[in-house]
Amino acid sequence: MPDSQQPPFWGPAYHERDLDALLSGQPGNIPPALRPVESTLAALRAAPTRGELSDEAAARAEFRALAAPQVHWTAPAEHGAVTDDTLVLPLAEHLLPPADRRPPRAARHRRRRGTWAGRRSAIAVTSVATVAVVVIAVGVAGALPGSIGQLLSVGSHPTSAAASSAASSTAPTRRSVGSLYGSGAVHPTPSAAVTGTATVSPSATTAASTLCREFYQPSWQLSQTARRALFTELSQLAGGPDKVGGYCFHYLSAWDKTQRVYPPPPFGGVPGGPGDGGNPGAGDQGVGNPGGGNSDSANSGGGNSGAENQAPGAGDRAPSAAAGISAPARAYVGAGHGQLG
Amino acid sequence: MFAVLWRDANPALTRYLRVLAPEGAEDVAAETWVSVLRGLATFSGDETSWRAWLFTTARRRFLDLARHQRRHPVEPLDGIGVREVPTAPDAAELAMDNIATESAIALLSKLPEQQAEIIMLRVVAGLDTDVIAEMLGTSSGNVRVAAHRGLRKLEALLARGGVTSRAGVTL
Repeated sequence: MPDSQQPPFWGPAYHERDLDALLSGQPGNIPPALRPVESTLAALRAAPTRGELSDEAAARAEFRALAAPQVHWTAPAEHGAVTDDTLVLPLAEHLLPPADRRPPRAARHRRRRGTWAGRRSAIAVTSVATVAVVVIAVGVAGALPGSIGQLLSVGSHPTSAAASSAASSTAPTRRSVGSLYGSGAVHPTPSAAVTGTATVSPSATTAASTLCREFYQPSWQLSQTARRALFTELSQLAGGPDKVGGYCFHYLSAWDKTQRVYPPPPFGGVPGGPGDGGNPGAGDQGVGNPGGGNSDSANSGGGNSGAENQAPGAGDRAPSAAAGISAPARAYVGAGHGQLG
Repeated sequence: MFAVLWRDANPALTRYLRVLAPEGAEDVAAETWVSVLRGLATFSGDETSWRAWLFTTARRRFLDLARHQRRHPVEPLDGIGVREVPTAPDAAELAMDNIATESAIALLSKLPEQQAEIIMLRVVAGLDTDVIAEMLGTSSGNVRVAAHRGLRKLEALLARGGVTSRAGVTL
């Protein structure tokens, strides 16, 4: 190559600092060799073209879909600052953080359990109230057996209170009798059983009737001590030992008229004294007869059953219950006993 | 606020990605913005940090795309390389917009990938050498040398003769 065609040795056309100036976009004395490069880099830094900004609407929509829920998550208190220009988009559940998604399963179950617990408590309260109403109704009607019926009837029957007070007036004696014969509750005969005692209070009449019936039980049902205590008490009520027979005759005859059913004699005898098992509240349930209650059919222990009632100390039996006088009274009066032998 | 950020950063982001991945720049840019929006609440920093974060995210999305394309290669129907032609949305836009940018991107795409990327990050993203070095996992000296080499190659390409755009840029 001839020397004339050799480029003149002017040294390097540009330096490192010129390249750094090009990269940093600093204006200055750019070597002519780098001017095309400067123009190219300026084209790269040019303002955005229309095509490069054509996707702005889509990007903004994407931003609303993504960033709006983020704003909701981070600053829920700023909801009040939402203006009419704010575009509210529905939240995409798959983009929500786990804390803002559906409540945890345990919480949902707790809510369900709470509802079910409330229902159960309401059902329980309703059931208890229903049972209580039914029990009270049955108790008032007198259909409950045993001590429950006694408790309810004592609390609800108008004559029971008077009977209780009458019984309490004879408490010492009856306590002694109860101690001998068991723990039966005192349940005196209703006042309806007493007739012709206008001068006597219903409670006193009931107590006297009860004492008389207890006194005229079969001899093997009462010990001598108990019978003596009863006789002492009846003597005080009647005004003397010789008046006990007439005193009790009056009550026993009146009480006998109220009995409707006489159980058949178990061994061919005539019906004796009235059994009071079939009439709740009308019989003598308070003396604690051993073995038993006062039921006609279940009185296996010699309770106050009408089938086995016999007058103490009298060998003859009452001829008929239609006479209106109970067998014990008739036997006692007929025997002419004034006191226990 | 987002619109301001998007208008400011998206053109540079798109140009950067068109150099790296001309065939999937728009998709990578969209993925980048989605990732940025999801992590926007956790970002803190100045404008330089914002730009570094944005282009770092874009580069990671591009690498994801490159890995996906390696696993699922796509054979083009024609034999023309994508990098050999300027990419543009359509001819009408090319006629209306400044063709210099498209031509510059096409020219820069002829450089080695790392040199082209570093030049784009320096020129378009406005990041300094240290930030780029941190992004690429190399030293600042290597970044600087690669950028200088890229400019020299670009100058050589331009000196070899090309086309002159409407803006007067000799390509």
